Amino acid sequence: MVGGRAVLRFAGLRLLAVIPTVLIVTFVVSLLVELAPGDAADALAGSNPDPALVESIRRELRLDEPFLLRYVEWLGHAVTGDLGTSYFAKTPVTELILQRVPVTLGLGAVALVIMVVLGFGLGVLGAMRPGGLLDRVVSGVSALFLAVPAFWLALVLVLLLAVQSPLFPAIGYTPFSDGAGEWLRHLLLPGLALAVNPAATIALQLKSALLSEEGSDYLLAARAKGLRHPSLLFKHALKNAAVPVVTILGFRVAVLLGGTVIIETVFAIPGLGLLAQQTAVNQDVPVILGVVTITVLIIMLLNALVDIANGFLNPKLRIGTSR
Amino acid sequence: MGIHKGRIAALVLAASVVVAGCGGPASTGQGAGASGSATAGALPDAGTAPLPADFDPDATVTITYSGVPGGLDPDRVTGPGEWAYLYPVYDRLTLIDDNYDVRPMLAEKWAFAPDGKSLDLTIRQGATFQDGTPIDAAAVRTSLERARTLPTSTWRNSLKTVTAIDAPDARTVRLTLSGGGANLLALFSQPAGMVINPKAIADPNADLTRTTGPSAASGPYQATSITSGGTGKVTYTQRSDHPQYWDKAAGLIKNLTINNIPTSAQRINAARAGDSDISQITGVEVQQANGLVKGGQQPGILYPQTLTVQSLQFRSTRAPLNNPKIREAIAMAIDKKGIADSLYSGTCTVTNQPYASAHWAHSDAAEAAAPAYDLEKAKQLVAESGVPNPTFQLYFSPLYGPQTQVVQAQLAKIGITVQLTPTPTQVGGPSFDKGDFDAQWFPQTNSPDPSQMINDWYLGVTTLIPPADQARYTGIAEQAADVTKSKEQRAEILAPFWEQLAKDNYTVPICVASQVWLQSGKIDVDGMLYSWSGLNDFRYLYKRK
Repeated sequence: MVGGRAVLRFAGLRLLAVIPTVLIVTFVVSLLVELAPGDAADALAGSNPDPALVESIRRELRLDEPFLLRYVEWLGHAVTGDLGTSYFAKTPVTELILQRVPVTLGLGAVALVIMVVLGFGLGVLGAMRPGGLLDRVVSGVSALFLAVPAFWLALVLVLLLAVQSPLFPAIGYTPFSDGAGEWLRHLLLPGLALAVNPAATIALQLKSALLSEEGSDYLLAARAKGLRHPSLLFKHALKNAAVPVVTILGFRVAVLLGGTVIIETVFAIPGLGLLAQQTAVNQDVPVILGVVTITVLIIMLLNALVDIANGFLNPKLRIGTSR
Repeated sequence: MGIHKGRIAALVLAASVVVAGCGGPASTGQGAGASGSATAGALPDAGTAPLPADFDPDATVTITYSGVPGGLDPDRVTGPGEWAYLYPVYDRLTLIDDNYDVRPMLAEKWAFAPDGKSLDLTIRQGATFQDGTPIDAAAVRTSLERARTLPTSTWRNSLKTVTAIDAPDARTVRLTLSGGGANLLALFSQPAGMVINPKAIADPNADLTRTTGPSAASGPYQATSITSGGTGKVTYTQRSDHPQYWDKAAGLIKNLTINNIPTSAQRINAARAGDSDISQITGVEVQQANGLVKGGQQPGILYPQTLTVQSLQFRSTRAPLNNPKIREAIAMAIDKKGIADSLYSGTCTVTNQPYASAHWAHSDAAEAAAPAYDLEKAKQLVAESGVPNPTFQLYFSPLYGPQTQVVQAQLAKIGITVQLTPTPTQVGGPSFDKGDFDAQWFPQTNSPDPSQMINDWYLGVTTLIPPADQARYTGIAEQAADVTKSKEQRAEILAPFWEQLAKDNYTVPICVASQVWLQSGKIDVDGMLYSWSGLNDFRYLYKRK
């Protein structure tokens, strides 16, 4: 239990690091938007605007005030949970984000499940008979998966499974509340497109980790007791081999979230990734900062979860951190 | 033929009968607005337009569309792409027919004063807001006043000729004009002429941008939800008092969704996968969609976008584009037909002026006045210009990458260097307006009324004509904005304007684009209003049983 508490303490410290990270990231992002040509008032005034209209909008949005003052004010409100109001949608940023987060998390969850099943499945299959036909097939498939860009795979999946054989929708999203079946039908192709590349990384990492356990004393002892290869693999080797894989899994989930920007665009899914991309173009600063803050929080939380999982999987880590 | 086409044909027929009978009273004039004025009074009541016999009253229809929804406030729209989301919710004072003529909507008729100093609009009887409040002159006055005076209103500049708005009686709205104003009736077919419930305007807590439901709406549908931004959508349901609605042929879909899908490629996929009932296809994907239609793989219709001209716009006050010989050389070196044939497979019609031949303001003389494609002469002009190594920066939306690369290659042949600067439209457009970049490739969407268009692009806030050269244009523009002139007279007045533009080359019009609407078998796409503009109004769209 002492080790468990130490892991939680370690994870807590990691979570504390969120504060400076959010501060630095939001400040840099605000500064970059400030330095970009034009501002939201220009875009909001439409084409051929009257300069007086642009100025009026600029005053209304308080874009005529000093940058630092606006940033500090945003920060002060953000601490209280008020992320401001979108310049374009005229909607509270928290509301916009809350609309989009379930979409992206849903997509992420589907992709995660595919990634884990595919990655662990291929990794274990490859490790069952090292050098055998199955191992070679797994290596080949993994190499192919690594080489295929997610957006290209997404386009191919749309063409084959939505346009030519209309089994899945080509675009859009249906909330879970409208039915789990439709929800899954809308997320399966984008989830697959997102998951394939990281699944290959996990498969190769797991296979390598499993094979490195091959000569371990505990496996030799178990084998001497008469345990067969599949049992050795699943009951003994897999837990130890999973430690580096779980670490990688954490990183891959962060990358996977980044990948939603492209995949949500291809499938026209109204998620957080697409919101981030569009608001960056519009220079809708409150939304940009809101999305950045939420993304940083999600990724830091995932990292903390990975630390906790590693702590429980690896006793050495628990002992190490308790000292 | 869709309900709209049939209805408009009936309106035009009725109008011509009245014109023949009355000869056009002098007091109401015969101008672009006034010709409507002369004839509009006898137009058949829109409520008597026949309902299609085969429409499905329980239909649910999803439209995938290129425009991005912003908000639902007519006076705070940021671009024409948002208009289609507002049309179902708000009725306007006028509409534009397929001949680019102004027709009645909530304004049943209109008349300019003989001296052109005022415009009287007569408001239709029997129209109500969705909460049952009658739409009368006072309500229209409040709406127009808001469009004219709200500090953040998009329409303030366009309504600057209106100095006062009064409602002398329950059906008459009188606009006092400071001069010109020929653009106003066409403008009132756009969100500037949308009529908002005065109760919603007076409510300090109402945010019309996000307002859904019946409280502010005057149109055939009420919005039930709105998600702004890319891949955003607006959902609608038929107004609850639809049987009493004045325009029986409008609002025939029970549940309507207009969904922004950012790229044409996605919209093609959506149509082919059956995810949408109708899909708008624009840009270079038009040739692919047209191929699907021609090959019988997907039903659809190709519409020329008469008012959208793919153009090069120059900042003619800045070197080297302030040199007339350089601009003329550019106009001569661009192979418009080559671009139209290779990139658009012939679905973009080459033009040398803002209005295509289908529009009443088109001028054959201007077409002939533009420089013809001639590389040798273009090289000679560059040499004569005295500008060493002419170079300019061309901004374009990434959607127009292929077009601008072709321009770059063609101008390189005459020794002009083009630095391509791809920038998202939302940033690049305003940035060009503010003075960044030397030139832009732009799909110039022109108002149906040329006076409005001239104000929008050439002599208004955006002055593609440099101040030093404006003197030779302003006189013509003022004459053309005279409300007492007929559209034929205005076309005659405007011809030298287009001719001079073609010689001065502040812009190089390339071609008039087309778009394709892919559809499912049961939708009557031909029933869309404004199919020639791409800024469609779906009020008369319906689904067959």
